[in-house]
Amino acid sequence: MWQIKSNRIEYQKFKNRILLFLYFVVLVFFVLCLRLFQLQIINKQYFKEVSKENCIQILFQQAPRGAILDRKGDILADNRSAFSLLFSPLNLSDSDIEKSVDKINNILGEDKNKENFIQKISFQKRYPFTYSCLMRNIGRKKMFQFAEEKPNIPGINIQTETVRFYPRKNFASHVLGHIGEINSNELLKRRDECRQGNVVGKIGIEKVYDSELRGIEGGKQIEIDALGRELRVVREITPAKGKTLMLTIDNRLQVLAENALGDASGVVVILDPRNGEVLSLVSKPDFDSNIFTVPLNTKEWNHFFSSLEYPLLNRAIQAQYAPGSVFKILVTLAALEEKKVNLNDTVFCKGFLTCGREERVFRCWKRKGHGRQNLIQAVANSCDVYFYEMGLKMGVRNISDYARKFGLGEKTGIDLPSEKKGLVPSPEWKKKKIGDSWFDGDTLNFSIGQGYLLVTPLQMTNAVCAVVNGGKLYRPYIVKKVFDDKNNLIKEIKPYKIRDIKISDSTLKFIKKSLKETVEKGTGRGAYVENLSIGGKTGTAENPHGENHAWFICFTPVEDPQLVVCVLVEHGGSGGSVAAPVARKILQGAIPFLNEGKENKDVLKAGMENNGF
Amino acid sequence: MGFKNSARKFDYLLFFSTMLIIALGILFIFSAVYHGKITSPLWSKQLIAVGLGLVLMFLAIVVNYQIFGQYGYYFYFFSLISLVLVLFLGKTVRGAQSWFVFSNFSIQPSEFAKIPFIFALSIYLSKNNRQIESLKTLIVPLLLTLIPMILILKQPDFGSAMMLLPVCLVMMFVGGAKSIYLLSFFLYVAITLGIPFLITYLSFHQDILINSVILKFITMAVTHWFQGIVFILVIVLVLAVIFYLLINFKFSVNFNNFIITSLLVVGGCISSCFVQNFFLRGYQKKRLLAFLDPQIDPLGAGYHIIQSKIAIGSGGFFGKGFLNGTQTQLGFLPEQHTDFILSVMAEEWGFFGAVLVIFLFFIIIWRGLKISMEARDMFGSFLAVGISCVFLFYTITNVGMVMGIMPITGLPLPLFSYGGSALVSGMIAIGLLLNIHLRRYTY
Repeated sequence: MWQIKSNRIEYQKFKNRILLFLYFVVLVFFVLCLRLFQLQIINKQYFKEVSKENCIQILFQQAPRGAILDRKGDILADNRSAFSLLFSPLNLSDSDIEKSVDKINNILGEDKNKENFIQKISFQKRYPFTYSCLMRNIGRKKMFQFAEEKPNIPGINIQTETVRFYPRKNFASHVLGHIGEINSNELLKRRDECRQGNVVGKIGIEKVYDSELRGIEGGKQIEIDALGRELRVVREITPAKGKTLMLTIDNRLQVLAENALGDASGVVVILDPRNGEVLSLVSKPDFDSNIFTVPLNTKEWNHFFSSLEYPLLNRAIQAQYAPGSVFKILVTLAALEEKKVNLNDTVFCKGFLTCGREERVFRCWKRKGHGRQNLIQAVANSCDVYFYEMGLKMGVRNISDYARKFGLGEKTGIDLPSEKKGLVPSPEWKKKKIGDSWFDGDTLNFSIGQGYLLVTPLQMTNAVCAVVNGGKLYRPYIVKKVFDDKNNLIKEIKPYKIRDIKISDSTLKFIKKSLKETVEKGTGRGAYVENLSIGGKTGTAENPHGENHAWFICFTPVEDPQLVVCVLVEHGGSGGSVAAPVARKILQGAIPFLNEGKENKDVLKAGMENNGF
Repeated sequence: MGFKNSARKFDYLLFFSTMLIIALGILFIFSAVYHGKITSPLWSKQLIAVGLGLVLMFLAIVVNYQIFGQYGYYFYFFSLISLVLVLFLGKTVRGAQSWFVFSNFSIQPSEFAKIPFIFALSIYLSKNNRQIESLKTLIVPLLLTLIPMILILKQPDFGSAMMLLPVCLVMMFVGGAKSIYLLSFFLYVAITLGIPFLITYLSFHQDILINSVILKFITMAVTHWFQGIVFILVIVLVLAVIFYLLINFKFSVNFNNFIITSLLVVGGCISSCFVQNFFLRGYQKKRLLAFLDPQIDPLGAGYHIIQSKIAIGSGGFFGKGFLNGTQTQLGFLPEQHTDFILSVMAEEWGFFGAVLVIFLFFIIIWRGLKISMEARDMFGSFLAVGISCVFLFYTITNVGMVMGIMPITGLPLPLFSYGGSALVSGMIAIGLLLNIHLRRYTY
């Protein structure tokens, strides 16, 4: 309403444009309100949930893993307290943090981690009131040092957590296995059970029984603010300790076996032929399971994963060898059962046999020859020529049928992971895999346990068990009993018979007699122990890559076998001179444990009390 | 002018809306810094600013505003001097050197510079109103805008600087400037700012970039001489073809229009290169774009937008209750007592509270425009329009920002956010509006 008359036209134009602008203003405010409506009314539920998740954090508490005991109740694996060093930037300045890191380094005494620490801390700065773990497992001494210095090092905190502990270190490491942080593949398979960062069993019993051992994870639901400060606990669930496993392993026998084998790389398996219990299982070289409870350094990693010793390989079930003459036990049994040989049949061993059109020469291990041999002598002296003749008489099919009956060429089904199944050759197999037909020469090799035949030490031991117990093929097993966290027995694993194999009494009697003869007078003399009736068979597995592997499998007492002991020394040479003496050491030590009978509840209870259960 | 007479003509609606906004502001500043216990003195500091603001507001009402019509340029020069001084003597807070710090209080000159800026524009536009349709007349107001703009950009405070431009454009528009000029100018600015943002956006979305040859070429053109020249030639060629077709189809367009349009577009492209390469820094562009896609800057501006949207959305219709907003009280909401104060209110008082505040701002702007229509002289009208515009654009950008539909510019919500300078200058502006209204019949 500008008060100069001449301005009238301009004023009208001005007013129109103001009105136009006012429409724009109304429109803009309408849009703002619409957006507000969209956020607060339409999407209300979504944002409500998000805001709730925003301020509730879940802190998981991993449950202590269940203990692992031997058959008498001695502890093989348990937990112990470990101390972790935590650090939080709080509201410290960068220079203060630097000072703290220096002091921490002084106590730890190693400078190389400094970069690592600073990186971890700077990562943490976004949530300055939460703690990150600088170092795990710092040890009791260091822990006390830190506890003393705590007022002078702002930002640090010490946390106690439980860490897996194997008090006997390398003892039965392939049976127990080790643990480690879950990897992405495992996570994918066990998505409903595990979370990122969980610790799970990687090999051995720790892996197979991980679900039982791990217990039930607990946790806290806490309300946090944007800096990650804990404000209050909304809900708390205490973790439940995992179940306790009792193994069939007898730690006295295991110790004996480990000591007897010494530093040699090889295998000792001791089974109870009456039920398939694994009394001890040694595979060397072995490892200290404790090393794996904290992340490995490069040197350790290289040692375990790329050295040619393959310390993590459980040779008892994951390595396959030719059984050599040990296999002759099964060949003899097959020949007797199939009536292809008479006890009095003799063969003259001149040190070799020629076979086929090309007159190929197949030698006996004794170049000079054994002379005339009957069956019992042939077994005791492990005369190859006798077995060549017998194998030709029987044919490949009979031998491989019997080998399969006794569990060769298939997994034994032991409760350990990644078992190999070995190989029992047949003409069809050879045609398919090698593309050649089966020759008599193959049969000859097969009948003395060489050639294509491959077995794991456990398979061979189990087969011998089935022979000496009169034809009952059991599934070997390691976990005997499962206890819950209050030590109530919740599961007992019963022996499982895979199949019965018909063996006539006369055959069984002859086999036992001949094997006893082997130890007393034959190739197995190295295993002879006075006052103990032992039957056994040596074997020397030809190894194209180096020195032969030495086998020896024996059982005792002959009349009513309680133990079957298998010794394999890799690259050891001949079975009689290398493997048999190892077995002797074990058998000598085992004398007091024979006839102990089934362990009674009192022994078990006493053992558990001793260990603070 | 007697007191009784004045009391009758006073705009009570505007005054009480303003005071209600200020009161709500203090209430929610209290809530924003509360965190379970009364520790922070910020809300009481704001109360002191309100006291000071009331005094200055009273002065702004009592003194006849026409004095500013006479001496407005002096205020303008004074404000420019203060903007230059702050670049040398000012203190840097949150990356912008925009504060004069005295013993126990500080002043942000860019907040106060807005009023003298409107004075200067109003004086010029009201004096030269008869020639407003010519292009030459528009040059001075643009210069009056550009000088403080560049000074504020130097601090750097991108948001505050950019706010001056739409205010100037709207004042020229209501003053009667030809729409075609304003549109052209708008086009120029849009190209200048649009291309750098497009490129920044694309740099975070390589998938789009790979599939489009044209966009890839534009990206190259901004930093490479050769491609740049080719790009400009192509644009000119396209424009020529369009004009040729228009003339062929007997549209009345002359050759001058073609020249002007080409110059505008080419000029926009060239200046966009300068903005891309010299003015805006990477993080600024990221911040400004994060509202389109929070993933561009997930730990900075993107985080702010996400948390603010969660706060607002989870408020629902009636809100979580005063001092009960989890987003606010647990500190998830960033800058909660300054830029994101509206999110605090929206979380704790819900849709109801947020709409109330938006409506109060609408009243202020509506009253401002009404006052400009009723003013007794042109200067008063322009002054009122300018002030309304400042309130409007600050409100839009702030409210749009907290709701995730506008870039994060770091502008406060006028009269509501914590910040003494902004509050006092806002209250002075309201005082001026009341002043113009009071004197609408005085000759």
